Amino acid sequence: MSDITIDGETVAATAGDNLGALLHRLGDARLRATLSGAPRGLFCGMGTCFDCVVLVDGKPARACLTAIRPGMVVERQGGQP
Amino acid sequence: MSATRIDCDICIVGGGPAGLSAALAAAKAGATVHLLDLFERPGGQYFMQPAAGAHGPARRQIAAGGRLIAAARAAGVTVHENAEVFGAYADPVIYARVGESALTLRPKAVVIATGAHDRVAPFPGWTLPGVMTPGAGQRLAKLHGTLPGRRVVLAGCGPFLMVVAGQLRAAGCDVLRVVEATPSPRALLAGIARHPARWGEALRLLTPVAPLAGRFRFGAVVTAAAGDDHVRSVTIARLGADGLPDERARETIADVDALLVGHGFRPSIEVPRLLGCAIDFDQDAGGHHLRIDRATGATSVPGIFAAGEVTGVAGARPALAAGTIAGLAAARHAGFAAGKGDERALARALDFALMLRRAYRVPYRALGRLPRPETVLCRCEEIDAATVAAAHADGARDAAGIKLWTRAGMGPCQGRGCGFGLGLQLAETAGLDPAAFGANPSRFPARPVPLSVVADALAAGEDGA
Ligand SMILES: Cc1cc2nc3c(=O)[nH]c(=O)nc-3n(C[C@H](O)[C@H](O)[C@H](O)COP(=O)(O)OP(=O)(O)OC[C@H]3O[C@@H](n4cnc5c(N)ncnc54)[C@H](O)[C@@H]3O)c2cc1C
Ligand code: FES
Repeated sequence: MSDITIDGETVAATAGDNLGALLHRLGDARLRATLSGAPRGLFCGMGTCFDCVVLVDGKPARACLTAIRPGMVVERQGGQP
Repeated sequence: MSATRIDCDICIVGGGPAGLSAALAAAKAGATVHLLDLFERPGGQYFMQPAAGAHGPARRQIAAGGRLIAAARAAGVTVHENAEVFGAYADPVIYARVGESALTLRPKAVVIATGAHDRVAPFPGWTLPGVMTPGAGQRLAKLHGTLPGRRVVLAGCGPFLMVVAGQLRAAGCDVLRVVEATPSPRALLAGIARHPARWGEALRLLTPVAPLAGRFRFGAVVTAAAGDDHVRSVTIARLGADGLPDERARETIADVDALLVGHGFRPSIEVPRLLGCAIDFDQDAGGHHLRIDRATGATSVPGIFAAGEVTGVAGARPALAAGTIAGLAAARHAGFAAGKGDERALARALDFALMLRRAYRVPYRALGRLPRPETVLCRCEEIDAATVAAAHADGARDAAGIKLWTRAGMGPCQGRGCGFGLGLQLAETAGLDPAAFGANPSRFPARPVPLSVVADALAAGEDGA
């Protein structure tokens, strides 16, 4: 297990696992909110739809295409322009 | 600043069955081949490779994909993983991003094998967390050991629903309903009966879903999903004789925590569109797809070949056969003496794909009626059906016009998510022909990429760089 940070909280995770799947489990499918405040979760799961964009170490990234790295800092909001 | 430039004989975009078989054939003919794929491991959809290797109900498929990948590597193919192509010019030059770095290829020939993505039509509630594509549910279960939900409804049209229903059941989901728009499975079963060579495969497909037979609802569509901040219930309706949902024949399924909905697949044409490749339209082949010469895989642009779902959705077997044909043709274009591939094997595989296509009936009319005025059609920009209808009333008549008027299709997905739904909605409410509605025009970069990566990639591609 390796720790990562999600919205300021330390979460135990396995390096190499998929970040989108982890956020799906942690948030009971809820992942972020849109500009209008609507909740969104994973949708396409394969990099097509951009519904799962979060900030990883300060940069926008699709969670569904991101492998977990130890020490990674994830913010669920702010990945979308 | 970090950019890698590679000059080679052949660049393959996409590492699914089509791209891998093209790469293998071209490398065997003596060409230097570089293959770029977006995912962590090659294999594409049909041959996706879980980190744990070939286990579980799909182990034969995973193992077959593993063998193809190993053969391609052994033949000298260089595979670039996590490499997302965002730009291309017909010189040809291919621009990709690998993390924060740029990768630029200057090949003599290109094979486009970008596959397809799930095709979803909008309906009230489709943006709720827990509503996903069947492809997303499959990846969660198969690659990431995560259930999309515990109590799952699968809905849409096509054989893929059965594949995913069987996989999710095996993974431990309670599959509450499989809502298939086609009126009955008769045409499918009769079609399979006419193809004895595929009986083994059909049996492997049908056996895992047989225990779910009582959960199937044929001739029905999902009309709405509801829940506060998460899908909780799903309403389905039978399709009437007019092809529209019959509001009197409704059923509401409660205590749902995942709804996976898809009506087949849409070819991923953004990259070849940047190259100027001509497209055709056939709603039953997934909509817009690349126009090719079946004997060689040649697109309308010299030196650019294509194979697989991007040339019209047909499944893994045609993708494999067409990949070999396109890989060999690309090698010949690059100056190597190469054969032509087995056109008859491709024809046989396409024959079965056509049977499947005819056995299923996507309820295009019904789908075009599902959105309410406040239903979001463009997920990226949150553009609703009323706004799109107003733009049409103001004179917007095609995908490009709707995009300029409303921003629908202008977000990061570049219309891959909304194009199908916009076309259906305007066909049904305004009588526009979905073919004439057109494809969302590709723009460079085809995917959101940091400007520094774009600049590095362009600089690396210049002559003498
Ligand atoms: C979500 C989904 C699930 C499917 N599951 C099944 C299944 O279980 N069984 C079945 O028989 N058929 C399945 N199919 C049908 C499938 O399309 C074919 O069986 C087969 O995989 C097609 O092969 P292909 O090589 O044409 O495309 P794919 O296998 O889709 O491969 C295309 C590859 O190109 C890559 N790519 C796309 N764009 C870019 C880019 N810009 N830069 C870099 N790489 C890129 C993709 O990441 C992908 O790896 C599925 C299709 C989809 C869309
Ligand atoms: S869920 Fe669609 S891009 Fe990640």
